[in-house]
Amino acid sequence: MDEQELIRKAQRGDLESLSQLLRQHYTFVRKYLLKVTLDDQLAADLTQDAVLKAMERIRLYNGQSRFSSWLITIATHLFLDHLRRRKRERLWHDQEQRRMRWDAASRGASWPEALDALGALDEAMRIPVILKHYYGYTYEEIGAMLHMAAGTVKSRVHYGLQQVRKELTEDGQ
Amino acid sequence: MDNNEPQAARSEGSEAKKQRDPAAIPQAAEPARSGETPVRPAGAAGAETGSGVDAVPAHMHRQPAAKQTQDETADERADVALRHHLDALDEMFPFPTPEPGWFRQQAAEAGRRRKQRLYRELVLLWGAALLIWAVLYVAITRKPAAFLWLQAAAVLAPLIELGMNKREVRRDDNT
Repeated sequence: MDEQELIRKAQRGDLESLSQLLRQHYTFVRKYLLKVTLDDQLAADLTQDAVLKAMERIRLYNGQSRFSSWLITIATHLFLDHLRRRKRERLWHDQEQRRMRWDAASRGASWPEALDALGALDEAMRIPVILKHYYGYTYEEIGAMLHMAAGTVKSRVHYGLQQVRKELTEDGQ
Repeated sequence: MDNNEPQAARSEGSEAKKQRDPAAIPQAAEPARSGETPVRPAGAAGAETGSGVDAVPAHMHRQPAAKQTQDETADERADVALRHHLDALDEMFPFPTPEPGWFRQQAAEAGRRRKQRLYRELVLLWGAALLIWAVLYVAITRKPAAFLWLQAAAVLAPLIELGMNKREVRRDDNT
């Protein structure tokens, strides 16, 4: 069964299609959240929340964007809501990054320096940079997802990448 | 279908394929870009060479173009490093996709919650309609008993709503 058919059936209340549809996109959402949060545990929690929210709101999906883009929009807003709730976000984020680095080392992998540079970015810049440079969305698509003007996205991506570049150059020296 | 992300990611944004294909990365010094005319300061024309075609001194436009090329190259390098390292992150933290049963259970739960919310909204709507009718009735008949009933309902309704909310929060905390 193709994705459109699954979406149609899920919107009509077919639970089997709904669960199949979201199972197909689970990995995609989880990997996106891992990149954006740079926190394995938080990515797992937010992915579950995003799946639940998508299940509750499946009837509101209007097909104007790809289904995966719609899921990314839900996941991004859940992450931003989570950050708003965390008062001491920066301290928490630094701790989580240390933990992730330690986890990576314990698995015998070295922590890539670009991720440090990415982690140092504010979320307002990190999310557009990832959506643009990793997923290849256009400025307009990212603007629609984050509810902001394409010009704002463009400047954030520009400054974000500049920052990453700077950090990478400094690390390289 | 557990690990379909790379294909999904590649099929995402309209520029995804272009960006992931190293051959598609634009060359830093491509002719189209170097052909863009830089802004020339007034009075600079012909100052050194005197030629009508290339009247601006070489250093005044070649340097910004070189700088732009450097920036573009650095951007591309950062872009490639970013993608490469983000891919490495996926490999560092593998995870299993939950069983189909988990999704079915969550879908059923979501359906139950949606129905519950619908009923609640329906009850609220009926309650509001009833209240409006009661107000009209009291206003028309001017019966003291009806007024007392209305007063009692105004006190009890928020209490009942509060109790229902608390019960729901407790249930959510338990699950």
